[in-house]
Amino acid sequence: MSTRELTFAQAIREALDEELARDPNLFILGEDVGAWGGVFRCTEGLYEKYGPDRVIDTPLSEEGFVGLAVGAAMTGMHPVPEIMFGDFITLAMDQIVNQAAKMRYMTGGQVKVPITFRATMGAGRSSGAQHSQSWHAWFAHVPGLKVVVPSTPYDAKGLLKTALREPNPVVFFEDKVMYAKIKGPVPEEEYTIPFGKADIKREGSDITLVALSRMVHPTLAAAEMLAKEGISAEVIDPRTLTPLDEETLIQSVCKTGGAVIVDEGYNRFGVTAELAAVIAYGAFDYLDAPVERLGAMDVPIPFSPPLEFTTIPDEQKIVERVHKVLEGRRR
Amino acid sequence: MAVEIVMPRMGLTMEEGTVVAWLKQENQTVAKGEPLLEIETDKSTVEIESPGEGVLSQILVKPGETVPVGAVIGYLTAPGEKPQSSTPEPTQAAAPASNYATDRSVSSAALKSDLSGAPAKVKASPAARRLARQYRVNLAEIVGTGPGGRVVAWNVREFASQAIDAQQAQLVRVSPVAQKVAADLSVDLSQVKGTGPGGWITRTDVERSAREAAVGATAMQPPLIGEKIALTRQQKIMAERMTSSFQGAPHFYLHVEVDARRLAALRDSLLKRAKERFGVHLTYSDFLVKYCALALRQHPKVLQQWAGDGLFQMRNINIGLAMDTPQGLVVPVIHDADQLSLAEISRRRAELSERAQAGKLLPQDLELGVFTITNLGMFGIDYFDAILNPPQAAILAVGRIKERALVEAGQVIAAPMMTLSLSVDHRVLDGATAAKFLGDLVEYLENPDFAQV
Repeated sequence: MSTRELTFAQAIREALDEELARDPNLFILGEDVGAWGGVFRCTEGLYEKYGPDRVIDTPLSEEGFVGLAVGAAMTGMHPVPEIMFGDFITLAMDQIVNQAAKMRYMTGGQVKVPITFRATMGAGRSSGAQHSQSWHAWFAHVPGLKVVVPSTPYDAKGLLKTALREPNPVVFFEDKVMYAKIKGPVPEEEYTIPFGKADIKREGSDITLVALSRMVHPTLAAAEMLAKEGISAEVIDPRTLTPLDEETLIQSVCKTGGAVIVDEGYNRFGVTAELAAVIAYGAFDYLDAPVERLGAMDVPIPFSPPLEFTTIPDEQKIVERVHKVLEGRRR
Repeated sequence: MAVEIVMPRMGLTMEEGTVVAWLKQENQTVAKGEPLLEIETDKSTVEIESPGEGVLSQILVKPGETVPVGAVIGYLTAPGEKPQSSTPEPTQAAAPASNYATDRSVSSAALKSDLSGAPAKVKASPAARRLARQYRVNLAEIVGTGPGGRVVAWNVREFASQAIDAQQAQLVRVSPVAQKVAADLSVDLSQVKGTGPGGWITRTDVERSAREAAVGATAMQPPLIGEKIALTRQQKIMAERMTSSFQGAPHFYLHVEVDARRLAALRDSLLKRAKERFGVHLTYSDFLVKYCALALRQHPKVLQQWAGDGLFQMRNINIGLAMDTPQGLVVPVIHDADQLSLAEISRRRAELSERAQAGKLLPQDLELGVFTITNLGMFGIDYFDAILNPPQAAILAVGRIKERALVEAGQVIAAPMMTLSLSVDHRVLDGATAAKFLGDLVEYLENPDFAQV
């Protein structure tokens, strides 16, 4: 199997390209996705290759073009609307939550809604409070939606291809900081990655670190720092929030006895809370300390870089939480 | 408010105690620290002091009666307070009870509850609580090193291993000077025969032992024709455990030939499908684990363990599998094997085997086994007897499956046969009990369909 290094954006673009070629019903729509190739370069060249009927530029009108896409999906197409800044997915909330997520159920299975909402998340670009948020938890809360949060180019491509073949609505979150900065090996050959299967990004025995999307990278860096102190950390990436691979999380914590959950979304009522509950229930008798949750601070994301980085998790904060969990344990 | 007087735990292994005599009568006043009653444990008779000042208002357990540790055996009330009755006490009666605040002396062991009547809650992590249940240690006796003094898992592991060391140390009664001389002369006290009162080891005993060892060493020194090889940790543990088992536990052995026709046919028929469906490679060891687990569930006595002055009844059916690794013999454990399907057992066995081969077994992989299977069939061994894996009371030695002559309905036919040998600790099990267990195991192996019933 031959592989090459791709950026996160290139891996996304390749998945879109291959699936556009494979499925004539697939089409992309969104702001600047066409002639401009996407502000994050995820659709570069696709407009030229597949034409304006399959890579459609829309006005700044999330509710409009997402609603149009949901309707198209109900008639048998597979639309891929792109929400350039995931913050503004709020404008299309009714279309996604009340329409797309419900139709298959409310029609007794007669109408399917094969649609892949691509949206960005993540802070760290000094983009201010309205362009830095991570809203994946909202959608994981809604029955009828699948939520994907990849962390590497390999996972992004394999999971996006699965999403684009999925007969149900999928909300696919891409951390915008990773698009150009994160590179990784991607096979030349065709592959897909199933939903609901966590990936153990690093094996370890002393503590379980759960992280998703971009947070996997500072978490792996933290695991490296911990290894220098003789602490063996296991890093688990759930990759999809719904469906969630509870088994892998629980088994890891049964082995290590402790967990720190790292997410860029807010702690309060968030992904860290849900995952902590899953672990506390499934691995109760094996926990040696309370599960630690490290999410974004419960404040609007500041514009000023020093303040912004204070509010989101990083290597140092993860290491501190690990020390807290391991306090009083033998080294 | 009345204070409960409970049967105290006087030692790690004490599970119950007998009231020998009450030294005070009901309604008699007692001072704090005054002898209140005598109890008898499995080791000795002990006088229990009153946990506080007051009136012995009620005696619940009469002399000669035996109750579990922690059971309420009587009540103490404040002077002038009404004795314990079935109607709830008015809350203001609680005030004088503050006289009964306990100190940390032995007598406080008899006081189960604090003044509110609720048992003192020990701060411990769930993992520590689970281990404390498994090791049968009392969390309240353990000093926690976690945040706010929380007892964490390793505190329990440490405590349990120290408790075992202490128990073993107690078995060798030795005078302090003899202990020092033994250390100076590098004499192993467990090998010294004591001639003092009650087998007490004296200085003379140690010196004699050292002399004998020196003489013996000279006399038995073989001509130097080879070199000494240092022991690995695993070899050292194996040597120590096997010596203590073989010398300490009276072994007996039961042998039985098993007609393996149906077992072999079942394995053949499942092999491919199990691979495709569950991704597991079924081995005869997997079937043996499964059927041993089922048979052990029916014969919980086989799970008992000798503890010097009593038997421990183990509950969880955790089956160890002896494995040959580059580092030597290891016995990783498949926990709660009776709760697992054949495919789950096979997967777990494969995981353990892989980790064992890589020298990556975790401490918990090796803990809490209650029964061991050792299989040398793959080495072409027909049958053999195994040494017990202490403190377990039984170990099953499995030979290879081979075509042998079988007499069936008066005809001699060739059939795949397997010979089993069950080694048993005669302190725990007698021949008939062990034979019934082995009989049921053979029943499963010869009629695997029966395991579905």
